[in-house]
Amino acid sequence: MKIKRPGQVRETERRRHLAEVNLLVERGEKASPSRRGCILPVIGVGLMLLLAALAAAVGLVL
Amino acid sequence: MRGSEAPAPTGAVRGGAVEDSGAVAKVLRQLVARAEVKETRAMIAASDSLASFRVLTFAGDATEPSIESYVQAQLPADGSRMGRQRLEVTTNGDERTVYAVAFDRQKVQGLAATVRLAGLEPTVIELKSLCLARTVTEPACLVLDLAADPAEILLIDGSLPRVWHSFRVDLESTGEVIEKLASALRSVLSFYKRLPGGSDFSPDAPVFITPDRSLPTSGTGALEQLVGQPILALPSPPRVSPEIRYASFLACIGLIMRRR
Repeated sequence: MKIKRPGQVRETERRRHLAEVNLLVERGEKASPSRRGCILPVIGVGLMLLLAALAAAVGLVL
Repeated sequence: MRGSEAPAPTGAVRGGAVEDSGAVAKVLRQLVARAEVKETRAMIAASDSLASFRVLTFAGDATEPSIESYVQAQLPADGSRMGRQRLEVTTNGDERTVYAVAFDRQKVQGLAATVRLAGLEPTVIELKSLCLARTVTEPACLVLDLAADPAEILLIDGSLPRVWHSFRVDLESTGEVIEKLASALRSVLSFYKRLPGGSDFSPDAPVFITPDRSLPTSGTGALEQLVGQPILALPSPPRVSPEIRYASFLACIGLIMRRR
């Protein structure tokens, strides 16, 4: 493990060094729950529709 | 920008932790009403006595597991009582700088619970040292806060908090106060200069004393001689209304300056 010395900070980069930490939020969690759905039901419904369409097409042919 | 302050009821806050939520919440409600604040979200600056932090620099090619392992060694935290967070502050190719903090979860949650009891919604809790560092434009300096009880010294380098130290001093005992302050400042400087990279800390880096006029001019001169760094009054943070007594609200101003 190499520990290097902190280099000189240019004024233009100073704001990049301003850390922000929120102790209310544990690492890996977000302060507010993100809205994220599940793609699986959409795929399932899509497959069902496709199969239904295929079945209908086969039925027409027969 | 409006501000209001009041002392915590005696015994209600000890070592930065809330001992009597009801009493503190009552004062918070009165402060909010006095300042005529309608906002219900609250950001909280927690005392550094509830946590320990480190600013660590690694080689640019250091791996995440190696950084995590080193942080864990520097800031041991058991799974239940102590929480830990780390944040990569800069990456410039040659090196990676990481800010890491270990904190007492129960005491931090106690702060949040107290604020909720006051009818507010806590959204952020951040260490006071990080809030103060954000308000100071000088990238390398020390901040000697004589309004805090006990008094506090914060050493800032590269615009980041590096060392926090608290100590008791009786400002009324004029014969000893300068020596006591000098001793505390020298111990912080000495400690930091022994850390990797600390020896570069400039002798021209100022010591900012807050609040202003805490010491007589003669005392400031004597302190400067003993410490070997310039002693100055803390300048106002940028974009703060002139009617705000910024020295009393530095931590709050630092919270407002957050980008998130």
